[in-house]
Formats: sequence, structure tokens, C-alpha cells
Amino acid sequence: MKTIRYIVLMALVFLPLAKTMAQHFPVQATFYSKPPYPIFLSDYANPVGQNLTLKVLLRDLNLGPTQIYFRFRISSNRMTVGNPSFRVNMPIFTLTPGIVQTFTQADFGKYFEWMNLGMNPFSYALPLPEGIYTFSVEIMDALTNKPLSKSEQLPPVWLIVNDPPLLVQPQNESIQKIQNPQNLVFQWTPRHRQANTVEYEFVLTELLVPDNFNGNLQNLFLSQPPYYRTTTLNSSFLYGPTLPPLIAGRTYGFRVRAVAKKGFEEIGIFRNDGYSEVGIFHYGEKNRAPVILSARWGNDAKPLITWKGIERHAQFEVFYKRTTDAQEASFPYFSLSNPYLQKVGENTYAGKINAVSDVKSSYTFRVSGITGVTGEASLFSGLVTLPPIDWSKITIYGITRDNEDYLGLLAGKSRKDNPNPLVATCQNPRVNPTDTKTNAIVLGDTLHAGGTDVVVVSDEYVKALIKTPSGGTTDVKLYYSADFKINQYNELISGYLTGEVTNHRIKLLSSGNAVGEEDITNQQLISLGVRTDSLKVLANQFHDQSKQQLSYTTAYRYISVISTSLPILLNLLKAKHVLLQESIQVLNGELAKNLPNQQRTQLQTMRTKLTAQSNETQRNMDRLGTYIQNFGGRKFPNEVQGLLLPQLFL
Amino acid sequence: MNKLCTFSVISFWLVSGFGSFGQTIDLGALQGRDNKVKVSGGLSGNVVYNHSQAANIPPISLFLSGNLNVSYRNFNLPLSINYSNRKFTYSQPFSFNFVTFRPSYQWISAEIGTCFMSFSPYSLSGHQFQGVGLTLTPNRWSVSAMYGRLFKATDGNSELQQLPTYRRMGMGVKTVYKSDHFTLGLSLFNAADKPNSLAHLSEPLRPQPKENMVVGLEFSTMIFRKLEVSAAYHSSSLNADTNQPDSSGIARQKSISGWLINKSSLGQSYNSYRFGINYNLSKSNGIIGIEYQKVDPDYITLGGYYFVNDFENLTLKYSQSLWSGKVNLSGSLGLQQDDIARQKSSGQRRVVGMANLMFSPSQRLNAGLTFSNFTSYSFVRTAFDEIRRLNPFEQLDTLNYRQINQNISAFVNYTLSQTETRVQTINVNVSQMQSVAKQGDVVRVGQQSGFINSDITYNYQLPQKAQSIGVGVNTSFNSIGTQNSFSVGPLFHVQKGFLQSKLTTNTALSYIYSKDATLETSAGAFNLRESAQYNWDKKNSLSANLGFTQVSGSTLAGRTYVSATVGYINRF
Repeated sequence: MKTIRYIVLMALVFLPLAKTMAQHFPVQATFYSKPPYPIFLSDYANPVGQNLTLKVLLRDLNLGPTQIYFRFRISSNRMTVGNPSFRVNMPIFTLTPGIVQTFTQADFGKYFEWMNLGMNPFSYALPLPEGIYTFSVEIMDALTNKPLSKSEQLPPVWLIVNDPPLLVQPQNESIQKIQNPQNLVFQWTPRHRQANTVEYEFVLTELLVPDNFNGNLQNLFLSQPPYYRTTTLNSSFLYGPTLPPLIAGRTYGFRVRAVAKKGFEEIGIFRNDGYSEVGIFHYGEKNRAPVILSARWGNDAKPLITWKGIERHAQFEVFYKRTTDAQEASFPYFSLSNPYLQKVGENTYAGKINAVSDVKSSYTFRVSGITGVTGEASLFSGLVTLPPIDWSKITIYGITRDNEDYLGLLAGKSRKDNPNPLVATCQNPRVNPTDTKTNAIVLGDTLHAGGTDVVVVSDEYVKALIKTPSGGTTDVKLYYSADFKINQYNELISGYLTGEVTNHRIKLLSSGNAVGEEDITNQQLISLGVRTDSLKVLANQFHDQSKQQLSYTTAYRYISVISTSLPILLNLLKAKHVLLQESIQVLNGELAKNLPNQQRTQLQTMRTKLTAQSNETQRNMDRLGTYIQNFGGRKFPNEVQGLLLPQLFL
Repeated sequence: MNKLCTFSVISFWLVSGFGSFGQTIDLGALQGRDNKVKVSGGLSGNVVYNHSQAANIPPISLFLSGNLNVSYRNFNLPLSINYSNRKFTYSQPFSFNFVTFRPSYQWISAEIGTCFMSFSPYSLSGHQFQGVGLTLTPNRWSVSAMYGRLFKATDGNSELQQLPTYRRMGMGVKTVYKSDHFTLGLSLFNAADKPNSLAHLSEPLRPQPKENMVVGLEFSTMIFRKLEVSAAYHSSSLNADTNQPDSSGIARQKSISGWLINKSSLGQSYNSYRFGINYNLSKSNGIIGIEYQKVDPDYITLGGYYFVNDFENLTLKYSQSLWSGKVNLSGSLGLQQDDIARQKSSGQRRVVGMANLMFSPSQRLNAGLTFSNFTSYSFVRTAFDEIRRLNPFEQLDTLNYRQINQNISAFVNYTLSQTETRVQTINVNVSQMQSVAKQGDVVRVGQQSGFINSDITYNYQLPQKAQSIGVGVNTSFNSIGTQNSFSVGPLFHVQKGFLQSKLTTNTALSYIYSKDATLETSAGAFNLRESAQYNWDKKNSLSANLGFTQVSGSTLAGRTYVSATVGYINRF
């Protein structure tokens, strides 16, 4: 049994040998190959290629010099190409018996040309698909077209189609930080094997992207010449300060091509010809319009806007206008090229518009960012509207609503930091009154509410004078709540004042022809054409006007202007004084009559107040007169003016 | 029959897009309050001067770009023109120069001329075409359609190894419907070579005409206002040779796009998938996201350019804001794999990690730290492995090549003092980049690179005067392959405004002295960057910039690079 098995085995081993030995060929060929194996057939036709070598020996010494040609065949499981069995346009070689002759691609390269492989030029131009290939060759007799050798096969080779490199750094479509000096590292990862000596061709292209371009940036890459190209053996490349300058704000495309090197010959064994994808990066952020993050009233009653730009913005322009002003398209904005720029974060700035003083109007803002890079227009942010300070949301004493903390802001102290922020303009505010005896309210009274003094100007509302940190005053209209009461010291003991319209009227003592039990029905006052309230309001208005006049005047550079404006102010004061005197006379006339006690007391109080005001006005007039006499018409710089003027109304 | 099918689908989507046409005509505009024809636009011209030994870039190039918009009531007819005399052609005739009309009326807009349109990176992807594009956006619908020439016929050039190309025509339509709860999109794209465009060439010289059909589906939705789900699927069928129709019907394509294309024995279908989930952790101010992507080997579309295919990608993203935005943390981790069909001789797996930390504890201090790591592992299957393989499921991965790219960078900005008139800051930047290639756990000579770069700058700003001055020092240590060099140098920049800030200038100067330890050479590089912008008025502005580099060294000859641009913009 064992012997049978042995015989069968031996037969199996030697049978193929016996068969091949039976056929005797006069030529012995040895086929050598050397990797890397090109995937383009044209590379085998290249006479300087060294992939294939053939050693041929004509063993039959009886034969004379014999003319031969080759039949190469390349086969895989998908395709087979090879030379035809007849010689067309292929070189002929002569073999001398007994001598080993070596043929290289320089000799038989022509056999791998497309016409000799029976292919059309385009399928010849395509790379061979990846896979296992067998190269074989037969030596043919040129005269008889009969094979002189057996088909000599190379060991199967795996033709590899390598993938092109993969870009790592910088990331596609990324924004690269501008550095001074430039220092940008490019990295890619190779995805090839077999080809050990690979060179990378690095190409950087400058892309001037037009504003109206909305296509794939690769279009531009393919239509522009390289800005910089180099060849490197590493998979990293440093674009340093010694290379052509990168311009801030421009877009660049880059691509790496892997090229296998063998000797001095390039061998195409890469997909997409070894080209990687095209990577795009922006050197410095592309100019973008700034974004207004917030617009609010600052604590000095000036609009404060915050916006975010990009790093490359060299300058911002802030535009503002009253919202109700003309159309935005006609650009009637004031331009404030350099507001007081304050950096509040990364690329975030805050600016104050000092030119705005009217808190009761709505304003609209926009910011433009300028990079200073050629070809980049300044871009505008969207319009942001700042609503006016909404006094209806403000309530004093038992504050109900002040969402925006306007009062706190105006008073210079935020309620968030200070629970009792309101700075009173009165000398002795009493926020928590101890006296609870109610007192009547008279027009022109100064009431102490919530630490602030307010002036009664109507039976509907009071006027609150709020000091702003910048030194001015702003008046606020505040309405009475229900059950609004004051004590003998004019301190609020019940109810509150609110900016919201309450439609609640209080009973005013001696409020002219207003409806009420305790009204004075004074025909003489009425026949004078003035109501007591309007009279007092008028007086107050004059006072305010004169103060305003003065504050305008200080805005001028030289005091010479005062020579014209101060006399006007003096006239205003005189008019006020005259009115006050007239009112006092009317009151005197009233008091001379027989009056109930309470009413008499109130009229007396009013007279005292008017007299006090009259005296004050007289004093101011005197001082102003002296001032004009001494300094009027002379030019004084601001500093001197600043020293002198405040003395007037102290 | 298939063409008919395609067409009927396209027209169905078009018709459904037109459904609400009649309802949105602005009668007010038609009644004519404003009957004036308005003309507006802008013109910008740039002249670029280049002096460079590094590339064959023409010394003077001109870039012109213009927009002209004629509007009448609600009708707009803008015209865009781009021209440059700087041209370059790789193998296909792409051009920088183009003329496009973009008439629009309310929600209808069209493009005529050289157009660009993008459906998806895996379908029509911003490929330049000569033809017509149409975009309709009635209500919740958005319909884009295009028809045009992608390539023009060229006879090729055997000397430059340029193959002939057929005239390639493309047409496509993308329809998107947006409801309050979801978005649904369908896109169809067809590109085909016209065989008769190269009829004058002899048969063997003609390449195989190709035809491509891409069907794309997109979907996204928001669930519970927190979970965002999006998905996209593209199926592309390529007929590599339309001259070889499939008479026997063997090559039946079982894909959506294959169903719409003419059968061919050389037809192939490819798929790409993308699926993503984002979840908003509103309680902790964080966002977490997962994305999966898969692109078939050799995925190709004639509507785009070369892109990486044959990969699977899984990415995890996370971002978190802490302490009311004072600290922002974000990171991502991605796993990529090549050779998903396991057909190639080598595959690669990649791990991509990124972490970014930004913190600003006070208004004065800002700092950030970024770390990224990119590691690729190559697995090589040799021919021997393939032959030796016993069963098709045997794993043949052999770790052969590993590349690690690590980047770490940090910055600190500190405000020394800040008033309305004066700001002083100090900036410090440090970055390190490292790249190591290991072959069989051995780092070969020259396979390691490291770049360390740092600079420290002091800035003095006068905000009211739009001026700022900065002084600093830059140092870097670079080792590429076997070459080590150390560089150090001062840097300076100044920013100043003139003429009531109508003219702003920006200048950056630096000098770098670099010493190469290996070659024992030294070199000096002088860098100047200058830019200026002058706003004449609202309509006219001039700008200029200059990049100047001069290199001189102990061994190498001096080199000078100049890139200067002067530009003018006019708006009317």
C-alpha cells in the first residue's frame, strides 16, 4: 500500500517534468525583472527603463547566427496584451550560438509600443488596473515565425497603483494666522508603498478671487500659474521668511504631487498622476463685514456700541444717524472714523458716540471694516437701531419698572452694584421719612422722593431733575400713583412716582382754574392771563434756558462769543425777574383779601418761594452784569473761562 | 426611454417647484411707484507686479472685475465680468476670464454665460460651465437647474501628452423643500461627452466618450429642538465608454443612478453616504456631534474635480462653554480608513484628533491652546501575502508605515494698561509642529521634521489717532530631514492713519538671521509688508500693498522677491 502511494506521488512529481523535457528548444531565455513596476505600458517601452532584462543563449551550436524576434505577453485575470505572432515593426536581433546575450529595454523597448501590442493609443495611455500580472516572453525565429524557446515567465508581480498623498496641514478652507515673518508649515501624509524614493512636487498658487466668483476655487487654481513650486523629499514643508511673500488677505491653493523616482526616470505608478487634492487656505481672514454685537445707552447718556471685526481690520468707521432721518441708501451719515476705540475682547471693540446728546431719539448705527489690502472694499455691518431711552419704564420710589436701569446709569451708579443708587440733587434728601403728617401739594413744590427731588409741574406729573455724571441735568416726567401723599417736609410717604402714564390726577392747592375743591378761583390771576402753575413753570423755564445758554456758551472756544450771548442771558434773567415780581404783586393782592387760614398759609408759602427765587435771580443778574462789565468783549481761552464762569451762579 | 425617464423626473420637480408661482407677485411694485431704471455697480482693477525666481509668473498681471446692475422695479439684470491677462493651463481649458449675466425678478434668478453651481461635493461641485443656470425660491421651495457645456472639444496635443476631449454637456436640477420640521432635497445631474464633437479625428485617436449620472438625496431634521439629524446619499453611475452599449443586458446596474443611465458593459456605479447627528446639551452649554461618511472606491463624478475617495470616516465632535463663556473647550476625534473594499495592496487607517481650549479669565487676559494629532497607519499586503492567503476572510494587515503629525500651539494676550487714549498689550505665540515617519518601527534618517516657532510682541496703541506700534522678537528652530537650522530676528510693525484717517497704512518689517547647523551656512532674510488704503470718498478708493523679501546668505546668491499690487475700486 505504501509503495503504491509512493509511486503515485513520484509520478505526480515527475510527470510534468517529463512532459517539458520532451519538447526541446534550441534557445534558452532567462527573464529578469526589477521593481518598482510601472503601471503605464509606455514605461516598458522606455529605452532607459531598467525593469526588464532578458538573457538569451542559443544552445544549438550546430546552428549558425540566427535572426530572432521576441513575443512579449502581459496577462492578468482581466486582460492579456502581447505582441502578435508575426513581426510587424519590431527590431530583429541576431543570436550567436554559445554566447549569452543580454537584452535590455534599450533593445526591446519598441516591442512595448502600442502598435506592437495591438492596442489603440488611448487604452494604451490608461494605467494598468491594480492586480497580479504575469510577464512572459517567447523567442521567435524571424524566418519561420516559429518559437525557438519555451514561454519564459516571470514570477507574478503585483502592479500597484499608489494613492496620491493626503493633505494634512493646513486644513482645507482654513484661515491661517498671519505671522510676521511668515512661517507656515505644510504637511501631508504619503499613501504609497513600494516606491521608496518618492519626491514631492509642491505647488503653491496665488488665487485672486473676484468678489463675484461663486464657483469652485479649483477652477482658479487650474487657471493660474504657480506662485511657488519646489521639490522635496520630506512630507513636510516650511514656507518660511526666505520664500516669496504671502500677501495678507489673499487666498492660496496648494497641491502636492508624488513622483516616484528610479534613477533619473519618473515612473507613473500613482492614481491621478500622483496629484493630491487641491487644498485651499486663506492667509489671514477674508475681509468680512463687522458685526454689531450690541448698541445701548452708556451711563453718561451717550450711545455705546460694541462690534466684532476680524484680526486684519486696520480701521473701522462708525456711521450713525437718527432713525427717522433720510433713507439709508443716500448715505447722509455722519462718519466718525475714530471713535474712542476700546478693545473689549478678541477683535471686539466698543465705541462711544459723544456727538449724540438727545436720548429721546432713536439712532441707527452701522460699522464698516477696512483691511487696507488691495482689492478689498470696506464692508458694512448690518444696521442696528438703538431705541430712545424709554422714560415710561422708569419709576421712582417703590420702583416698579426700570428694566434698562436707565436711572441708575444716568445717575452714574448702576443699581446692580448699588441698591440705592439715585443721587438726589436736593441738599438733604430723606429717603425714609419719619414724619407722617400729610401736607398739601402745591405747584412748584420740590418733593423728596426716593432720594431724588422732583418738581411738581402739573397735577398729572412731576419733573425730576437727574444729575448725570457728565455734570448736566436731564429732566424726567414722572406720573403720580394712586394714593400719592407727602408729609410736612415734602417727603413722599405714600404711593410712588412712575414713568408710566397713570392717568391719576392729584389735588393741587391753588392750581388756577384746575378742577378741585381747594382751587383758588382768582379772577385777578386769570385776568392777568397767567395761571399760577404756568407762571412758575415759565419762571423755571427761563431759569433752565439761561443755564442752558451758558452751557452752550462754554462749548465755544473763546469767551468773545459771550459778549453776544451773555447779554441775551441777562435779558432772560431780567424777564424772569419781572415775571416773578409781577407774580409776587398778584399774590400780595390776594393776601390782602380776607382768606381762609389754610389758603392764606399756602399763598404765603408760595410768596416766600417766589421771593426767594426773585432774590436769587436778582443776585445772578448783578453778578452777570459785573461779569459783562469786566470781561465782556475780551478774548479768554477756555481755561480762564472755565475758572470764571462757574462763579456766576453759585 | 431612460432619457425620457430622466426628463420626466426633472420636469416633475420643476413643475412642483412652480406650484406657487402665481401667488407671490408684488402688485405694489408692478403698479409702479418707481418707474426709474436704476444703474449701479462697481469696477475694480488691480495691477500685480511680481518679481520672483521661484516660478514663471508673469511680472505684470492685470486683474479686472466689474459688476453692472440695471434694475427696473423688481427686475434686476446684473452683469459680472472678470478679466485677467495672467493665464495658465494645466490640461483642461479653465479660464479666469468670464462674463456672466444674472437677471433676477423677485424669487427667480438666472445665470447666463460662464456659470458655477454646486449641488454637493459628490455631484455637481462648482464646476465651471458655459450655459444657463436657473434658481427659483418660491416659498418653501428652492429649485436650481443648469444646462451647459462643461468641457469644450479639444484635439489634444501628443507632445504635451494632452488627450483629446469631447464636448461635454451637463444638465442637472436640484430641488429642496423646507418645512418647519425638515428639509428634503433631491438632485439629478447628468454629464455626457458628445461623440460627434471629435468626428474629424480618426477612430483610434478618439478617446472613449463617457457619460455620468448622479442622483443625490438629502434630508435633515430637528427633533425636540435639540437633536439635529442630517443625511445625504449620492449614487453615481459612470459609463466609461458609451460606444459599447450593453446589448446582452448582463451589466444590469442595481443602483438608482444606474437605472437612469444607458446600459453599458463598461458601466460602474458608486455610492457615497453621509450621516450626522448633533445634539445640543443646552443645560451644560455643550454640543456633541457624530458624523459618518463613506465614499466608494473610485467614486467619480464628471461634475467635480478630483477628490479623495475610497474611505470611511467616523468623526466625534464636542464643544463646551464653561463659566459663562470664559472658557471654551472644543475637540474632535476622527477615524478614517482607506481601501474599504480590501482590494488594494495597501490600506491606511488614520486617527485625527484635535483639541482647542480658549480662556479669558478677565478682560485683560486672553489665552488659547490648540493641539492636533494626525496619525496614519499603513497596512501593506504583499503579493506573497495574497498568494499565501488561505481564505478570503483572513486578515492580512501588516503594519508597515506610520506617520505622526503633531501640532501644538499656544498664545497669550495680556493688556498691560488700557485707557481711552492708550492701550499697551503683550502677545506671546508659541507653536510646535512635528512630523515623524516610521517604517517598521524604525525612523529612517531624514524622516523626522520639527518646527518650533515663537514670537513675543509688545504693542502700543493710540486708538484715537488710529496708530499702533509693535516691537517683538521671533525665534524658530527647524529641523527638516537631516537639516537643522536656527533663526532669530527682530520684528516691528506700525499702523498709522493720515488725512483724517482717510489714508491708513500698515507696515510690518522683520529681519531673520538663520543659521544652518548641518550645512554650516547662514542667511539673512529681510521681510517688508506694506499696505495702504485711501478712501477718496464713498465711491472711490485706492489701495496698494507690497510684499518684499530679500535673502542674502554666506553661500547662496542673494534673492529678491517682490509682490506689489495697486488697486482701484469704484462704485456707482
